Amino acid sequence: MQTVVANILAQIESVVIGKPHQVKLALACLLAKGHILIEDLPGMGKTTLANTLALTLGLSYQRIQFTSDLMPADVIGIAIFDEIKRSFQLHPGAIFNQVVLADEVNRASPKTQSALLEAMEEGRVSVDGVTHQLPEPFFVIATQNPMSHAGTYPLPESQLDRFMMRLSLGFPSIEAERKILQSTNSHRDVAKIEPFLHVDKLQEIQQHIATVRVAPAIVDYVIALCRESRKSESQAKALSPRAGKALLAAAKSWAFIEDRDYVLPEDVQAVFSPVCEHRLAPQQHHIFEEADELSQQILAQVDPTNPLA
Amino acid sequence: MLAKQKINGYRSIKTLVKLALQKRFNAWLIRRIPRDSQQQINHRNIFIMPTRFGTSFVLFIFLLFLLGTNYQNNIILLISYLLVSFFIVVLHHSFFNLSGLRFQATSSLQGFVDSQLYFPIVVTSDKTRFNVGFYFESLPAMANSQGSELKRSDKPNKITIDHVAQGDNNIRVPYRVSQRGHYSLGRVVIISEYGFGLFKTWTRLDFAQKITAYPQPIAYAWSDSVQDTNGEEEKKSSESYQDSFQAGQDEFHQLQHYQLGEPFSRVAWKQVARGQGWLTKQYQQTLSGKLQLDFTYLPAGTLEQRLSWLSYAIKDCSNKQIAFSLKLPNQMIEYENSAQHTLKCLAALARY
Amino acid sequence: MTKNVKPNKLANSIKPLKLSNSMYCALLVFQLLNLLTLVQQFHWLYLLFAILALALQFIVHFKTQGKITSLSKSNKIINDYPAVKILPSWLVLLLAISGSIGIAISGTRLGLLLSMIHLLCFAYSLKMFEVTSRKDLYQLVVLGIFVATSSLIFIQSIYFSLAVIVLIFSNFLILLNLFTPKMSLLAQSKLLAKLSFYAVPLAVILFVGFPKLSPLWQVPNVKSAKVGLSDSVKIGDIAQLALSDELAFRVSFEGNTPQHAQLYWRAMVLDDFDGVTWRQASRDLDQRRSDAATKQNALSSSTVELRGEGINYQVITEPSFQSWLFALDFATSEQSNIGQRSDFSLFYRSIISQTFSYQVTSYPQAILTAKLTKQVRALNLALTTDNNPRLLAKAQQLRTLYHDDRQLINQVLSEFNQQDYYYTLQPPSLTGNSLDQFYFDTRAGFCEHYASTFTYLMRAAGIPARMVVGYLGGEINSQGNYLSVYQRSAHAWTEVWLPESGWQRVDPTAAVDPERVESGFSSNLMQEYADLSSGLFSTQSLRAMQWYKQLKMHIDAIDYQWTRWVIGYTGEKQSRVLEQLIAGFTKAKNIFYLLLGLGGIILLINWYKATHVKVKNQHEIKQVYLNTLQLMASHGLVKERAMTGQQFTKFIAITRPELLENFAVISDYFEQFFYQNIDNDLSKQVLNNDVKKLKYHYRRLRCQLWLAKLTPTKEN
Repeated sequence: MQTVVANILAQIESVVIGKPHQVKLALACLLAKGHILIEDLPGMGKTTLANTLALTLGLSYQRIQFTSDLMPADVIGIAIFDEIKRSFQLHPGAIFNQVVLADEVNRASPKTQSALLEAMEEGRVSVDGVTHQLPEPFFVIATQNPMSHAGTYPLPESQLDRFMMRLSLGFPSIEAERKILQSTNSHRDVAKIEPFLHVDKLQEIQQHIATVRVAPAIVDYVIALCRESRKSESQAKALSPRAGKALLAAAKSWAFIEDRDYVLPEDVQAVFSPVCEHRLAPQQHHIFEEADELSQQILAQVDPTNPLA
Repeated sequence: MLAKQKINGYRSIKTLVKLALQKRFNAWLIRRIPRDSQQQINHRNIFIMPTRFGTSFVLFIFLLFLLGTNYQNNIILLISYLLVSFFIVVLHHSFFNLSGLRFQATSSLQGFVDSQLYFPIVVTSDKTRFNVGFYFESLPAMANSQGSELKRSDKPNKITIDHVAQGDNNIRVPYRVSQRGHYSLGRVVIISEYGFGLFKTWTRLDFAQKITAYPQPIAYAWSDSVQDTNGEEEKKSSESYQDSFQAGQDEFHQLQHYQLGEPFSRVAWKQVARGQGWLTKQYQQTLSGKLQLDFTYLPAGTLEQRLSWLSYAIKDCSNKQIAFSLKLPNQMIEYENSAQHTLKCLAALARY
Repeated sequence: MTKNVKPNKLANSIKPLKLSNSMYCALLVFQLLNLLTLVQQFHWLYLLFAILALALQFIVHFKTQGKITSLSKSNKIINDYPAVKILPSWLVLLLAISGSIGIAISGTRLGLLLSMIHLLCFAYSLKMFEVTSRKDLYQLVVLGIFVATSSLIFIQSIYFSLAVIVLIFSNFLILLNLFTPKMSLLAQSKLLAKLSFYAVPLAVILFVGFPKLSPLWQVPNVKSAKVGLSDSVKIGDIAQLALSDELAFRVSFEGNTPQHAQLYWRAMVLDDFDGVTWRQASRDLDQRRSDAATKQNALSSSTVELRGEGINYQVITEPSFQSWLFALDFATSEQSNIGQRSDFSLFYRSIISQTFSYQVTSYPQAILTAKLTKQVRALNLALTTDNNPRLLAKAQQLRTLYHDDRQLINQVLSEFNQQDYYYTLQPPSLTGNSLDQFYFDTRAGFCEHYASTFTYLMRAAGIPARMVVGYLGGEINSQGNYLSVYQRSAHAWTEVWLPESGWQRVDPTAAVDPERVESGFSSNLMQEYADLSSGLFSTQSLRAMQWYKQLKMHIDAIDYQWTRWVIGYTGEKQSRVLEQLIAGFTKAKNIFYLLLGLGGIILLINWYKATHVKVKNQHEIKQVYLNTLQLMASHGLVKERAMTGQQFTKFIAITRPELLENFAVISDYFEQFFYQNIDNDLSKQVLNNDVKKLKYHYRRLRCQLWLAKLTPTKEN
């Protein structure tokens, strides 16, 4: 099991150069059945990452470019009247894929956004009164360009915690940039990646992750972190139990990737910022590494060896 | 006449002296109890004084001592010694009731002038404590305004916790916003009279938090300059929206004949099924006028008045979800429509 | 213009007070208790008033209680209610005025002190009607304490005093309840008790060390009926006193207690006989009232010649509301408030209205007045009436027979002894108090009969004689090693003046009933005593029982020690105690003990702190781990709060690799136990073994750390 994961990581990292930590986080999020929100300036490799992830995991992939005139129907699908058959046929929207890249989701109107978000939540869509199940597994990787303000509709704060993690790729290091510039690969080469997994195998992995042991001490740690976040009222939002659950799931996934069958506090610490920062300070945008200040504050206040002292 | 002048002169001298003393006192206080969002009460920042009852109690003990001496009654003397000793023990006990309390206040306040805000503090205690009261020390500037008395409002400006449990307690200290601006909240006085009412123990802590006080909204019929997307300037005299038609996606506007190339998602399939032919749905985006709230276009008034009007306008816009931009003589805040934008504009007003 | 306004500073004390139910109850109860301490001193009118007031308050309280419970059943729970004004203000004012007038009127009868006490208590009772603000509550508590304290002017016994002290401190419960309404009564009492105990050491130090001042001004004294001996004695007086079981005074001797027969306690000298009553001659009363009883004076006096060893003792007398003091011949006292008369009796310069302690040094071998002045001689020979002709005749007869005074005296005494004279508590009454009748006819009497007659006889025979009244003997309390003298030991005897020997004591009772002098009441007397004093509820049999005697002795002993050390702690005693303490401090041995004691206390405190600040948790393994962290922290290796166990281990591996071996065992086990093997239920056995192993490594780690600290070998 472990080598499979290691190889997946290796492959993705060979395409998305210089961001091993984010790749690992993204994989952990997907393995934990969570959706990802990526905030980045254009050209950082968001699309590449999403694409590579999908392909490596052997999942169907579709990119939706959100624009201001995008309709919910474009995302979900429409029932087209077939004149020959004289009946309505579902013309599935782009959302009927296992991995959906919702690019620049903040450019679409709130209506369209909510269509996407609802689908993420429910796992099914209804078109003209008929309900259709979305594929299993189903992941959404949404992206936002945090710097563009004009004509944008930033995702509502209350909806942000539908995303298990918020990542940012950011600028590469010198070494990585060198490699990127020197590589002859283009984004068209991405499509040539061979899938590493069959979807059944993926589900097996996910089930395995579910059995990773979570000690009461870890649960206490998570609880302590959540309580710590509730202490300051106005500047940061508090972490809800839903956040705690997401944190635990992500930590389990991370532990699995680290080749352990039990969760350590280090795992919780590693995933804390991506999982919680956007729930704590939704307004702040995560472009630069320093922007996870609130998470660091909270982490610094809790002692993992004696959390509920 | 002369007497009145004299009295006024005397008063002003008194004020000056008081201000000077206060300045020195504050400087000393800042050195002794520096600002911090995390504070702990310890021997360095505690003040203890006997209350009125405390001093009269000491006098009473002295009376008992005299009684005992005059009657040469050793038991009464013993009782007066016991009471003196008890007095000292209570002094220490009051000290320990407050000492060791830890506070954390990491949030700043925002609000309109003349509103009642609540400042949250987390009080951490390692044992149960009693009778701890909190209130904000009023700023001297305010006490001097017009020489008037502090208004006794019905709303309380002090909270007292009878029983501080072990662990973390969240409390909210009332704060009445009195002045516009962006300034430090000042010190919170934490006071306790737990020691049988004999002593009052207090400390003044500054949590290094600021308040952004927006000007008090004063209603007026505001006019605005409206710009539509085409860049034409049009003036409207009341809060009305342009019904400019623009292709958008919010409201269904009308059906038009299908033109080749239009996306299938726009096709009105029900109509097709009914055999009405291929029609596309056209949507309209209600374009609210891009409002610009301009300081210079306000009617005449004092600075505070005009800021208050702007404040009202901003509040109104944000209630109605109208996007707006704010133009002050020294800055310009872009057109936007979000809660954050509202706050930003209000803050700009506060700091002006 | 106000500086830093505390807007609620005044408001706190004036804002309307909300009293909880329990608080109100407490106020009533304490009022009752405080007033109870003075109940014996109260005039019946005031008592009635106080009871009525209390009853009224109780009734109103219960009524309001009833209203509240019915209200709370209907909607909300009201625990506090504003202090109800029971009576309208004008009525209270009216009561106040009328009460003051009433007290002023009966002032003369009550005496100044009692009137003031009544006024105080009256104010206290009325105050209860007016508790509207916090300030009033404070005043109420202070008044209560004052009332309770003033009861100690009248009664000073140990048990009462202790009860009053406890009551005074309990009054603070009311104030405590004001600030901690949610605390249970038990917790409040515990807290108050704890604080009171902390107050004791300083109070004791102050009591021992703080200088005792003499009264700053004259205060109205307690007026009471005189107790014990009076300054005029007629036949039958002392026999009456002999039935009383009350305590007169107690004595502690520094050395050995003298024999019973030596314990003649002189109170006063009566030398003026008018045929019925013996009194003090008025001339003597005025003379030399301001003479101090000091040894200095005695040495310089012409009437006394000090000889032999002195006996030191401390006397503590119960309030007699008179001013004479009791001492053995010849007594000196260094206290400034004690004077000595020319007849060598000691007196107090005021009325003894409360338990009084004084220090005496007596010289039993001193010669008193070797030479008599003509005046004094005449005084002591005066026989102002001649209503005892037979005695006069007898005296003359004796005079002719015996020229030597001593022989004469011996003759009289042997006649008392050999002829049937009886010593009884119930002497037959004499017509006209005729000593003749007693001497020749009835021949049965008590000490005053014999003393009186003997003195008369002596005077008639030309030997200057006078009657001395006081006490004889006393009961030794072996528990406390002191002597208790009761009123029944009251005695009268004679002093005759012999040339060269001065005044000599002659006790005719010794001739009649030697047992009286040797050891106290004889068995006959005891029987009489028992018959006379037994009433409806005879405690006689109870008193005879040994265990009762023992118990009483114990109780008395405690009471005596208290009286001696607390009540009897005069200024002189204080200076002596302080001298001793200072002398004791300079002794090296004592300093050593003191340092040892201090060291022990410091160690105790440190140990307590160390064990008290233990990290709270249930799990032993976690505890070991956390203790390890504390240990490391105390040696400068602090784990940052957010560091996990593994991160810290890595840190140790880098900075102090030599500790890694022991630390890693503990840390790894902790990790494994807490994060990994959560499903495995280790058996208790295994768990215990593991804990032991961990503790072993902990100890080794501690050794390592201490060794490293103490041997600074490598520098960084």
